[in-house]
Amino acid sequence: MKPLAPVAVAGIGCICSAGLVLKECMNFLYKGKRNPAPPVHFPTKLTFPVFEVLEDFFPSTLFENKNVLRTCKLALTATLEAISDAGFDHKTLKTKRVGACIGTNIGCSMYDESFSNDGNTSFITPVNRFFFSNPTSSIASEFKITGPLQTVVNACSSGSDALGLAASWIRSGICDIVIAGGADEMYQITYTGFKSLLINDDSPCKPFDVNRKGLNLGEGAAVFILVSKEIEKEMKKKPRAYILGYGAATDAFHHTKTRPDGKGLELAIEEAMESSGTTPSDIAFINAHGTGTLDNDLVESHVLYEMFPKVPFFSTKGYTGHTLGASGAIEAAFTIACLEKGRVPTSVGFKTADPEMPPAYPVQQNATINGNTALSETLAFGGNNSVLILSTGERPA
Amino acid sequence: MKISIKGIGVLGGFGCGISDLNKALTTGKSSSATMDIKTTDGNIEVPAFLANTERLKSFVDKKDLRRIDHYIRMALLGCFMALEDADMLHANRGKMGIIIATGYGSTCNTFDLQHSVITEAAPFCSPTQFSNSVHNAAATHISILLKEMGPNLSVSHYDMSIASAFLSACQWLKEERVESVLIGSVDEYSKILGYFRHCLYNKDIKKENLAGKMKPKYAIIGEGANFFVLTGKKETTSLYGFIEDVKMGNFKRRGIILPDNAAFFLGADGYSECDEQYADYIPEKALVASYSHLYGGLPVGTGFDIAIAALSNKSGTFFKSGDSSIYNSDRLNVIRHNEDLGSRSICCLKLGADGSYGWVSLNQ
Repeated sequence: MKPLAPVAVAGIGCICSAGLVLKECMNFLYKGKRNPAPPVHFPTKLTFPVFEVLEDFFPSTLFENKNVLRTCKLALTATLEAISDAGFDHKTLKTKRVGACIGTNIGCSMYDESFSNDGNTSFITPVNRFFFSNPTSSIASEFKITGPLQTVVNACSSGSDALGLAASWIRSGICDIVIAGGADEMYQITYTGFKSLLINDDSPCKPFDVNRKGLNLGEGAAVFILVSKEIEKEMKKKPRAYILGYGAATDAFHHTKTRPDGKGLELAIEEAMESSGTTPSDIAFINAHGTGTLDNDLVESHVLYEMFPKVPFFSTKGYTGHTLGASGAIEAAFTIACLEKGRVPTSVGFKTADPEMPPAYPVQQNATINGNTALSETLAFGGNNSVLILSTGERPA
Repeated sequence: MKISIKGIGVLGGFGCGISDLNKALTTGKSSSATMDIKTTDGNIEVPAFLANTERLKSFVDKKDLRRIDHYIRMALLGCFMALEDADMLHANRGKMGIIIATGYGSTCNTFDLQHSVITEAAPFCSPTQFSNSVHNAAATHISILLKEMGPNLSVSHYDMSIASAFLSACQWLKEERVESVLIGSVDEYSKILGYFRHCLYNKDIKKENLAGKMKPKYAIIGEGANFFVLTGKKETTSLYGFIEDVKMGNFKRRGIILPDNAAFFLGADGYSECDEQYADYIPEKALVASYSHLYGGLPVGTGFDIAIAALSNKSGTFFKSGDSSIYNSDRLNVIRHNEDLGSRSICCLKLGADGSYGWVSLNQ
């Protein structure tokens, strides 16, 4: 496909177990520490460690809509930070054509335990919440936006797909501003479900390590404020970054396993590179999906070695857990923050190379990087592969 | 770029395939079933338009259908019929994207899974049930069976799911990300929905219900799937017509921008108080129709309206409307009899929750 116009990122908000705002998250990552633990927010007899947001993060006095599900609270909190980061206020949002495109794991149909049993006399309220309480609608309702709304439910690639799709709304003039990203809470169903697939690690996860046993789940949200060229010119400060390219492709192989030859991921990377007009030599680093599962890391390492043999890569799942529908957006936020700092964090959890992987290893200590363009990739159940090319600095030609 | 509709695959209470839909449009009839639901208050009965997926066996080997639930079967059948109708089932399709919209998701499977996890003594669930509960499960099955490796998108935004899916399909084609898009939607009946309808219209449940505000006889639960093959090739004619535009917004906050000189197919299906508001926003005396009496009430019902609009384009005829759920129809010009389409475009409009709206318009 032909190269597409870059889309400016005016502001970013991020919340996960590593921190309640993006800056806090990055400080945590650069420290190289982590603190997974058994879940406390829902009852379970299982003890696999997870990365929950333990603090009382939702400043309810700042929001009109308080009776929303946790995923929405995460999304709203990140949105508030992103809007503030962009220097916008409610008035800006009211007077422009603003859309919202948020990725999540289950969209409208969030599980709601309160109507799991027949005969519940207060049945209508929870079912209505089930229908209407998705993160995109919560954002639209809270910030009174009037543009298109989309809830992407592409499993774990939802957040990065939402960013790629939202960028196209800006390019084509559908919106002046799009609030885009991903959000997902952790709850009993996915926690138990992943256990049934035997891909949970019972200790802190170890992406790309020979002793990796699986993933740890996490939760969080990251929200980007994407703006048109016109809005960019009106802004008092420069955009934080640009979305240069986006590519998506499917494995057409299996529901929960990664395609062994990595063809789907390769196609997504190729499309993202073409749409961004960049080449591998432009890429300063890669924020890999790196879940810590046997299949994912093996396939991903081979594809990266083939396509970007000299480009450093790392996974941040060791710090945040796998935040599912939020992960693509959270990792895109980390990618931009790393470009801004000129530094990438240790790929925590990696100690010993896997002999089945090619001789390229994830970043093993915080490292300085050169360049202002990076790639963030996400793989998902269903064989979805989603890739974003992001840059900082001046607007690319 | 003109986005052309190349093929259609539909199934629902009216039957299976465009010939059954055509027949229902001609006769104005569709048959609903009565579903029994056991509740702690006793047995209740709810009407529902259900879809039959028997025909899927003519497209997919029986062994490939093991462990595939009704929700996914409906999606598969819709997609195969659309590809067959477009003559693209066995052809080299080039780079094709897949987009699936759903309002509810795979509810039967998901609620069963939820119930087992919450109520069982041992925290366990079936891996198949879990992977089929993921919202992109239908799109996954389709991509695997078709061996399609292009972009694959699932959206779930309740009653705005269809509009947002078509918005993305048009973007993919305009950006030349794909050569064609297989776009469809699916929603299924479940006991939870049946009980929800019972609560909505039961006069003994006072809080938040619609008893007295809406007419329960017009609110029949629907299920089914509607699929389309879209292409962006340079063409001047299309059997089913072209996607003219897609718009989404919020009518409570900023009104609605509607196309000029269009007839309107309204997504009034008896399930929302917004049903009463169509007449407030559509130009007075505009030509309108509602066909939910054929497919029922479901979040992705607009997809059936798009299929009916495409069939209207093909036949050059507006099909007679059901008058079931059009309110204040004296302000509007309801299509009471089959009539000539003329040069009008057709706008399939849905007013949704919290003032959201979405429309997809088709022209010839």
